Order: sequence, then C-alpha cells, then structure tokens
Amino acid sequence: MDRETLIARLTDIVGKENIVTEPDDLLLYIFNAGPKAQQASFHSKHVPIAAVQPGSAQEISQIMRIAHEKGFPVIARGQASGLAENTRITKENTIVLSTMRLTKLEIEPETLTATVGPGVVTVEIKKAAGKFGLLYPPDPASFGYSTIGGNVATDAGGLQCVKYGTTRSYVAGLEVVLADGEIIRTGNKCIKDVAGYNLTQLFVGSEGTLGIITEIILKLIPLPPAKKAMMAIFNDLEAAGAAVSKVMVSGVVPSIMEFMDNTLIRAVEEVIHQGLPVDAEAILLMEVDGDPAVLDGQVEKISSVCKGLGVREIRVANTPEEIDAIWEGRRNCLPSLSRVSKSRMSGDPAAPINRLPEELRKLKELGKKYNVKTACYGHAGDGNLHPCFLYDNDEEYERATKVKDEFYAFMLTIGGTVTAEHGVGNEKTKYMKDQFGPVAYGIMTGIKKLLDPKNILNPGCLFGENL
Amino acid sequence: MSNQYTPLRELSAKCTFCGVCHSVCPVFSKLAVESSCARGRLFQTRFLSDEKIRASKHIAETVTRCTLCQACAAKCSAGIKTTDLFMRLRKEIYGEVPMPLAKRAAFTWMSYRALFDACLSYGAPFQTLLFKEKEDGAGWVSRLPIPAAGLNLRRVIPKLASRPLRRVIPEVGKPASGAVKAKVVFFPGCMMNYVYPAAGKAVFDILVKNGVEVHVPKKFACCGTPAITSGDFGTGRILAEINTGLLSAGGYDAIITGCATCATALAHEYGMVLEDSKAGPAWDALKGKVQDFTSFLCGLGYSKDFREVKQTVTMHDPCHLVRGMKVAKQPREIVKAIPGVTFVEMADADRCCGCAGTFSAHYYELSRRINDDKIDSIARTKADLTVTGCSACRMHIDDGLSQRGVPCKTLHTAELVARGYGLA
Repeated sequence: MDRETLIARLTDIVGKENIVTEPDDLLLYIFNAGPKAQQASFHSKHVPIAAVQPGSAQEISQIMRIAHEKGFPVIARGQASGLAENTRITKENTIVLSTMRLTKLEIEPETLTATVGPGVVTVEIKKAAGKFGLLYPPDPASFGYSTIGGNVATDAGGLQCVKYGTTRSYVAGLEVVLADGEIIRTGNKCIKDVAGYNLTQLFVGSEGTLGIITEIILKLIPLPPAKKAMMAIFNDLEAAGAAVSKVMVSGVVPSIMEFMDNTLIRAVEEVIHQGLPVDAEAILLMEVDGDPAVLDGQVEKISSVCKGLGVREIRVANTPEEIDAIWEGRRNCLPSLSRVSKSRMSGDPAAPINRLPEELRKLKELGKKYNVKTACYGHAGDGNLHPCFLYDNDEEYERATKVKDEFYAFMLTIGGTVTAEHGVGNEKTKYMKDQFGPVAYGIMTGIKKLLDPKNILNPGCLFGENL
Repeated sequence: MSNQYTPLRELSAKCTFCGVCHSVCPVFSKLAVESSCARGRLFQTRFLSDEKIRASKHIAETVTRCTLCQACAAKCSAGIKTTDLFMRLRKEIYGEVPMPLAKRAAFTWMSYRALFDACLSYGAPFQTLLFKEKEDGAGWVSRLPIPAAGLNLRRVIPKLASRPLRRVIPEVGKPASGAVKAKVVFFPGCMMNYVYPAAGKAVFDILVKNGVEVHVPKKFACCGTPAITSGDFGTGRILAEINTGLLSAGGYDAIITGCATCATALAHEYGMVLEDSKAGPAWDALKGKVQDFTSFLCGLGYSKDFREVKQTVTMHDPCHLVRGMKVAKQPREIVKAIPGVTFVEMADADRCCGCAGTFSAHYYELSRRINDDKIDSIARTKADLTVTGCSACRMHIDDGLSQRGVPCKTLHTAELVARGYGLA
C-alpha cells in the first residue's frame, strides 16, 4: 500500500483533524526523552509515515487491521516521556498512534476501582480518586505529565513503591487491541480472581509490544489520613546503605525511603539553597503515612535504628510545608546534575535491599577505574537506584558507557535487575539475554511471536534485532 | 552552521523532551500533536537553526498556534523561558515569511498613535454598520464573517465605549484630604481606554480613595503587546519608546496598571524590543516600578471602609497576571475583604481562558474550545460574578458565558472593589 492510500484510509478512520501528515510536523516525532534528547545520534533514524489520534478502541482496531494486513509498524504513544527510549521509531513507514484522545475517567468508590482511558494523565486519576477519599498510589516522578497508558505499559514505579508497589499492583483489568485488530478484555473488578493465566499482567510492562491498551481498570485504596517526613544525615556512605535494610526490617514500612549521595546533595543545594548538609556522605529521606496516632512512634523507631548506625543528625518535618521542603530536594536531583556535567546517563537498576552498601562501593570503584564522575540517588527502600554516569564529551561518554555496562553486569550478579521502573525500551535490550538466560528469553520472544507474528507492534522495543 | 535561529536554539538546548509542557498547555489539551506545544516547538527551533526545515507559511501557523500563557515556562524542568523564546521565534519567522496582511495593517495603524486613538475614540457611532446587538444584551455580534479580524458570526464582543476613559477621568487625581501616600502614573491600556472605561475609572477612583495621587498622561500609545507577541518587534519598539518616555518623566513612585497584559509588556517584554534602543536605560530604571493595582494596594495598605456587596464571586487569574506578574493572592485578599462577598475558588483558576488577543482572532474555534473548560469551571462554582484583572480575558469569558447560556456576569476586579467602596 503506498503512502497516499494509507493516509486516505487512516483519515477515513480518524477524521482529518486527527491525523498528522505534514512532513515538518512528523519530524517532531523522532525525539526521545531523557538527558540525551538533544544529541542528534539519539534521535530516531526514521520519520513516521503518519501520526494518528484515534478516538476509540474500534478506530484503533480498524487501524491495526490495515497495519497487520499491509505490514506497517505501529507505535502506541502517550506523552512519549519514557526514559528508556520506549517509543523510539526503528523502522520505516511507522504509524505513530497517540492515545491522547482516550480520556475516559470514572471512579467507582463502591468497588474501589477506577476505569480510565490510556490518555489520562496520571495526576488526574489521583485528583479524581482523592475527591472520594481514595488513593491511586503509584507515583513515578513524571506522574504530573505522563499518561496512565504509558505507566501501565512500562509498569512505572516511583517513590512510594517501597510500601505500595509499582503500577502493576493496581491494574485489575484491561481492554486491549491486538496486532490483528481483535479487541479483548482481560481481568475484572474482582478483588480475587485466580482463573487461568493472568493475561492482564502479561500486558502490564509489555511496552506496547503485545497490543494497544485502550482501557484500564485500576484498584484504589483508602487515602492515608496523615504523613510525616524526615531526613537522616550520614557521614558514612555505607552506614546509610546499611540503614536502609535495617529500617525495612524494623517493623515500620516507610511509604517513601529515598537516598542521595554527596554529589547530589551538593548539586541540589546549589539549586534550592535550603541548608542541605553539603559535607555529609549521604542522606536518607523518608516518609511514613497512616493513622496520625502511630506516626510519631514510627518516626522514633526509624530514628533509633539510624542512631544505632551512627547517624549524624535527624531532621523531622511535621507540617505540609516542611514535608514539601524535604521533597523539593529530591525532586531537583535529576535537573541539578546539569551543574555537575554537560550530559549524563541515568539508569534504574535494582537489587535486593540488603545489597545497597556493596552497590555504592562498586559504583565508586568503577568510576575510579575509568576516571568517570558518578553520582547516585534513588528509591533505596525498594532497592531501586538511579546511578548517574556523567560526561562532558564524546570520549568521556565512551568511558561512562563502560562504567554503566559493568555496573549493570554487577547488579545482575547480585540478583538484581537492569530496570526497576523505566522499562527496557530500546535502551536496555542488550542486557535482556543476560538477565533472563536463553530459555526464559526464548519464552518471551515466543509470546511476542504468538501475539504479534509480523512484529509490527513497537518493533525494536524489548528485543532489539533479536526477532 | 549559524543563522538567525542559532541564538534561539541555544536558549532551547536544555530541553530533555520530558513532556511536562504538554500537561499544562491549553492548546495541547485540544490538539495533542507534537507541533502544538512547547517541546515540539523547541525542537522546531533547532531544525530551523540546522536548516533541516525552512520557515514556511505552515511553520508560521504552528508557531503562532500558542496562547503564550506561560504555563510551560512556569513548569519547565529545564528552566527554559519558552514564552520569550516563542515571541523571538515569531519575529525571526516573520522576517522570512510575510505576516498576514490584516495583522500587518493593524500594527502599522497602532504605531500611528494619534490616528489609532482617533479611530477608537470616535468609532463608536459607526459600529452598527458592522455589528448588531445580541438578544441577551451580552454585546455585539458581527453582521458579516470577517475572518481576518477574527470575527465569526457567533463571536460576542463588547461595544466600543461611546466615551473613552480619557474623557471620563481627569489627567490628575488627588486625594480629597490627608497626606498623599504616593504619586503614581496609571497606564490604563487600550481595552480600558476604549472598551471598558468603567473598569479604568474604577482603578483610578480606588487609588485616589486610598490616598494616592494618580497621573494619567493623555498621550500613551498602545502597550504594544499585539505587535510584540506576533513578532513585530519593530512596531513594538516604536510604542515602547513612546510609553517609556512618558513613564520616565514625572518622578513617579510606581507605575500602576489594571491590565495584566499591559503590565507584563511594560515590566518584561519591553526588554526584548528595546534591546539596542536608546530608551533601554530609561526602561531599565522603570521596569521594577510596574505593579498591578492590587499588588500596589496590598503593599501600600488599603482602606477597609467597604459597604456590603452581596454576591457570590469567583476569580479567573489572567496568564499575564498570575505568571507574568506573579500576582494572584493580592486580588483575592482585597475581594475577600469586602463584606457580603462569598468567594468561591474555581477549578484551574490560573488556566488560560483561550483569548490571548490575536490568537483568538486567528484561531477562534480553538480558542472557544479552550474557553469551554473555563466556562465549565465557572459554571460549577454557581457564582453570580466572575472577576478578573484582564479585560481581554473578561471579553472572551463573556463571549463564552453568553454562547453557553451560563447565568454569570463578569466584571473587572477593580469594578467590584469600587462597588465595595461605594464608588460605582
């Protein structure tokens, strides 16, 4: 099918106000989010043939029938804010399929569920649930602008995962358009359902490679009535690392437990001027939530664990303003690094929570070995770190890449994963075989081939050229 | 490679394509395509600099399809001053592609201050040639569609005042008794001058009532916003030089506005158009004195000598006030101080109403769709009255309320305060 015919067919389906065909406008779809967004080498090599914004699962089904029959690649896309090149265009004649018009948002307090379209920005779900005294807990840093469709497709994490889990834990059902245009429904609003294979969870985290999610049933929980935050300041990096698992087994489950190393403390303080301890080796930022009557006791418990490990100082935030001040520092981690180096790579590996001291040691060691500046922050409480590999030029980039690869390999040797929240995307495909081994990896490619035999759904994502 | 877009490319180079701009953009909320929001436009700038794309009528269309509401600039995680950058981008693009004739003609007209003033001052009797009254009394609707002027048959616009503000208030207002607390110059702007003189009079009267000596020079030109935001920095500069001259003379303690857009032009945008002008140093000296009348009153301390005004009131924050001038608390504080006023906050009060001056002329249907969200917010408050500190927002909201049949009136914030003082 030639371009003109395809565009005419797509226009018939979505209407001419919902298709982008102007070459100059299509060029804007070659970018990928992240610190490297400006590098020409990081841009997608192919410009899409068209970008469409269907308004229903039926329209998407019609589009997929054409794509499947004629072999056009299709990449589903929300805000394209994913940090693992999740929507990179890797093939010619790709149709970019925006989910931004699918914005259904219904809260059903009686069943503790929300039914939403993939184009809803996650914060809107939180706001809508909040009106009923309910909470949708997952909070990736991007929740103010990323869509729930993208969150589900990447199984997005966030700060509160340590207590509440990732997006996956809240997905109860889906409507999905398959590669050939069939529309299926998985899951339901039941709290318990053990029938058969869990297809819902198969699609969660599949990054648009198995189908296009067109509706999502989410679980909600009662909104915790109160919270408190605290900062624990450590002179010793490994003591801070050790404190993480000690706190986690102390009987208190913090709702957030974040870590920042000295490089980050200094960079962030330069931005926010809040009196962060610039001479400390590390800080832990924690929050507890729940019944106000128990929070003081929890703060005390955490404090005493930290004291046992030689904490230098503990600052407790009680009012909403004080709590926000604590988190302002954390929010500024990634942007503040632009003060340390021109560019950087950041990752999202994880390991079991008791291995944090080793991880921090290893990162320092590798940085020294290759003379690369590194920094580290992350969701220490759930074992998910954001190591940063900093560089100012191409030559440093090469060395930084070596540090990154060796660090990821190390994470796998201690029972970790290369991605705990951003997804594999097109970024981490090279690590996948190592993480899964040939048999498990073969099962995954087999599932992909079963559901998308022509490899038209987000080709390149998860598997690279291995299909 | 380097061209006129290269400096702009450098200003945009920190964009990480994160997409936070999408979530706050009123235009993206309706169109949802990459070319409709800041992130895409920043990368367009890059391509113009690299000469991977060329300025064209189409590119000009996409870069003007923005309300310049500053929501993206306020949220940008890389701190990019998107709105300023987009005005500069428009300037460069219109250096290569001709600006639509209607805009060019209008800006030329505006730069001839006396002619512009005469037409708008004496134009009222001739309005019926073009317009007819809408049945609900909300204003005029056009007899003919005039797309170049943004007039479509359903757009409701206010009538041109039969007497401009200049003929309603004196050139100098002095407090009746007591010490003069400050000597200020009041810059009313075109909307208050020619369309809503009652709002201008309200600002004037409120200031005098609060012990302020107010000067209103007759020869102010348009602040220049329509030209500057459209990229016509040449016209903007002519107007900025006229106004800077008038504002610098007289040794005023403060420059007071009742129009958020004028305020932002005087305080910020003149910096762009006066970059190498001989009026630059004079502007540098006065820019810090520009204040919305509400923030000025809160700083000065204002009389609480109010009478009761029994109204349920909600407030819309104009983009140029809340983000341009960082003023949002002050008008609320004053309005809430009036006894009898029940203040109801609307959802997303600081979201753009879709007017954006020339934007609503060029993209009327799109500006209406954006405005629908605002009207929904207002309707949910069930308020009798929406007040706002920008006459253009007020006009656009009035249009929306009338077309949607929502029973809520609009006033400039100053008019409500003047009622509280028993001045109107």
